Amino acid sequence: MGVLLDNLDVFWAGLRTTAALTGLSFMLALLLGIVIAACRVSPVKPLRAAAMFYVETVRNMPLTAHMLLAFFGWPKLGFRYSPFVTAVIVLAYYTAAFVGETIRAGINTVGRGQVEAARSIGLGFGKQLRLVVLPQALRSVVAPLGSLLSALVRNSAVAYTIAVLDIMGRSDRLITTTAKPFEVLIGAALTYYVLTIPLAFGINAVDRRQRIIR
Amino acid sequence: MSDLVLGDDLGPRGRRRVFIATAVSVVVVALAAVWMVKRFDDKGQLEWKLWESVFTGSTFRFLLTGVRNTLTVSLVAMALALALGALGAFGRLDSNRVVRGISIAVIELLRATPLVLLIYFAGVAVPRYAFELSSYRYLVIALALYNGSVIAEVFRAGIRALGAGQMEAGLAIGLTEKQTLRLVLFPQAVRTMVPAIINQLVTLLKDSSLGALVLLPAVDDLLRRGRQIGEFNRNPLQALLVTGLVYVLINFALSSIARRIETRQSRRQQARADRVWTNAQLDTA
Repeated sequence: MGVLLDNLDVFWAGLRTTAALTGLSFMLALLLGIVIAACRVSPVKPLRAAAMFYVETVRNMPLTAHMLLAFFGWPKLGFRYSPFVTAVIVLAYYTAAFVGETIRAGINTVGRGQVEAARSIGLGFGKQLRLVVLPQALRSVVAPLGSLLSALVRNSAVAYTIAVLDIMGRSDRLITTTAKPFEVLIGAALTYYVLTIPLAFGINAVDRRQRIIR
Repeated sequence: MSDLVLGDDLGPRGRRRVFIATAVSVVVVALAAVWMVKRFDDKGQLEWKLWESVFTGSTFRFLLTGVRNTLTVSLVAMALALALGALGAFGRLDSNRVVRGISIAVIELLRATPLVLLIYFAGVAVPRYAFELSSYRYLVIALALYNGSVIAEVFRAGIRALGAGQMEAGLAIGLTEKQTLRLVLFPQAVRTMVPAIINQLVTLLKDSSLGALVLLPAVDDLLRRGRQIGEFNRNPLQALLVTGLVYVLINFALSSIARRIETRQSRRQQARADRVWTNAQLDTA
């Protein structure tokens, strides 16, 4: 266990990188995901088709393949970024496909009857959306989005394969220098728990409070 | 039912707006596609000699072996994960507090750990201190443990969704709590959870590609082989794009099956609900 205590600063640095990686890519994924969801529920056919194509191709391909493609393939097209930026972009567009589907599912849980009721009492499209649909949709979407964030924290570890120095990347180096894989990996797992376990409790609490009892 | 989620059929003004939006979005999507193709062309990535090697018969056979290895690893890991998941779900629903506590702790810890770390742990730390196996087995063990914890939660959600009446009915006809769980609740939960389980298989299949990046010696799966083609022919972009497409095709097929089962189930449930409803009406009539 001495290895862990001697290298607390290494894990701390890794934790900061992982947090930055996850935070940045989740914000981008939310923005892109909202756009995708909007396209998927819009009455405009080409937008629906394009969004569906995006979602099906992106989420049916492994994150590892996306990472390798970005790392080895993009430079051939003239897109050269640092490993960190590459990882942020890949994690963002990968997660966005799932965010889009989650938000769409949230909009779909609001029954047609709700929309029809809103129309029949004379609300316009904007008011229907703002007063009736979105409050219910957002509510049912908070907990699944939390799980996606938690999955993103764990998925971000894949970035170490393209030389990002996150928790996993720094642990990998530490194993090379100390030759103590067991202790270092336990330390890495504990460092990830600092992020994922509070998140899991938060999701449960939110889920319990926000659930609509029908 | 129309495709529209919000609102119903549009009037003349709405139709006109949708028409304009359709025209604009066709142009935008087409421009994006043209820009992408032009980018490929400008950088010389459309040249046939870069694509040629990806579409030869030998490359095809090479990749096919990779597909077979990926499928083998995924299916074996999935079978183990289902068994572990059932075990975990029973543990979590056990009446003994100690059993329940241990199950919850193990499941939650496994779920909170990045899969990369588990595979790395299995492939690097375990052989150093314990037993040595092939990379495949370490990958299968790590995948089975992680997905077992996820599937345990899927089963539990399925059992909880059944409603208290099923358990009460089981107890009322003299079964013990465990018997009811095993004979009444679990079989029903599995049936409704089939789509979720297939979707988890898709996730597992994608995750299995980590074995090609994390473990040494690397697992010889589809991703590994695709990467080798790219290294050998110096066309990583083309080779990885085609490899990715193969993954997309496999997983798309799997999730289509899941979707089909899902719609059939919901239709059957609807039919059952209708039947109950008409029976109730007949009773009161």
